[in-house]
Order: sequence, then structure tokens, then C-alpha cells
Amino acid sequence: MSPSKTALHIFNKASVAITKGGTLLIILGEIALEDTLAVKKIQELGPDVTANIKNLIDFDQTKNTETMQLINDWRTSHGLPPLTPPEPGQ
Amino acid sequence: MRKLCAGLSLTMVLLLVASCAPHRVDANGNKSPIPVTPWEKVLVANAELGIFNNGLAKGVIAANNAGVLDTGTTEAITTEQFHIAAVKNELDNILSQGQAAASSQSDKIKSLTDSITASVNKLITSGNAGIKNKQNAAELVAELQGINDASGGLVSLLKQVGVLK
Repeated sequence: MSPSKTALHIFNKASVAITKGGTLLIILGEIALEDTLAVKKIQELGPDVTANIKNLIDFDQTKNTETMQLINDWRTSHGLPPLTPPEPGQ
Repeated sequence: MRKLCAGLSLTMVLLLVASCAPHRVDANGNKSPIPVTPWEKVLVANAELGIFNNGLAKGVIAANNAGVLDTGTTEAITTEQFHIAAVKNELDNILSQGQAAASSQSDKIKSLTDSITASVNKLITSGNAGIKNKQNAAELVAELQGINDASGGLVSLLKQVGVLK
């Protein structure tokens, strides 16, 4: 590879890395914002204590299930076997 | 560099906003003088842990997709996160029975929270070792810290209400 082609190759690789880094930063910022808004929302409790308790448990179970699904989707896309929750009490 | 500074500033602002305490609002959304019960505080801390665990999973997978985090480290981190989510569902089943019922299952809750703490410690180790470019992945480190704080907060509140000895 000629010096100019090598330089161009390095420049292209660096450009891709910077773009990916910038995009990742934006994605991570969006996730942080989403988390902050969710935390702020659950910290605002209504007048009905029983309803609050049920809502918080339901919210958490939905979040946990979503997390497990997200992880297994990623594993499947990388050819890894899905994980299963441990048996209760183990 | 400007994007990095903006990202870090955003993270700091978000963490400050997120550190507010739970509070009660009335039917009109105005702040209520009625205090939040200790059990509600426990459940808020529990849900916060679920939020940070979910956010970190999304962030770690995004970092892997961007080539910042290798697949082996991503697998190690997300395996612990899956464990935390699964154990939390089991914990939710007990917490949903109320404070008195939960107190009678103190040993079981201790075993579940110990298991979560062990996974959080492994997460911190794998995350810190695996994230090569800590500047670009500052939010991931912040999410890891968020999980650590939320997990510690949950255990501390469970002790305060007498469910954990």
C-alpha cells in the first residue's frame, strides 16, 4: 500500500471510530436521560399507599422481564444460548 | 471533545436530578404534606435498581455494537445483570406480600439480596476492566455506580424497616 493510501486508510478508520464514539455517546446520553425521568416518575408517589406499592412492584417486574429479554435477544444475535432464571430458592 | 464534555455535563446533571428523595403528591400533582411510608421507600429503591440494571444492559449492548466493548466482556456483564433481574423478580414476589409477610421471610430476603450484592460486585469488576475507553463510556461507569448505589440503598432501607437484621 502506498504511503498516501495508508494515510487514507488510517484516516478512514479514525473517522469511523470517532463517528461510532460520538453516536455511542448520544445513545448513552439518551439512556441516562430515560433512566433519570423514570426515577423521577417513580419517586412521585400518589395519595393511595396500597396502589403505590402495587404499581412499584408491577413496574419493577416489567423492567426486570424487559432486561432479561433484552439480554437474551443480544445473546441470540451473537450465537449464544439464552439464559434462564434460576429455580426459586437456588 | 465538545461532545464528550456535553455528555459528561449531562451525566452530572442527570445524576443530581436522580438523587432526589421520594415524595408524595396529591390528586392534583401538588406536593403533599403526608410523608412517604418506610415500605414505599423500600419499593422505590427496589424499582430504582431495576431501572439502572435495565439502563446498563441497554448501554453495554450499545457499547458492544459500537465496538467499544468486546463480546466476552459484554457477555460477562450481561450474565450478572440477567441474574440480578431474575433474583429481583423473586424478591418482588416476597415484597409484594407486604412488610409483615416480608419480615417473616427475612432469611430468604437476605439470601436474595446477598446474591444481588455479589453480582453487583462482579459487575463493577468486569465493567471497570472491560471498558477500555472510560472517557467515551463515562455514562456506562455512571450507570455501574448507579446500580451499586441503588443496591446498597435497598439493603440499607430493608435493614431500617427491620426486614433485614
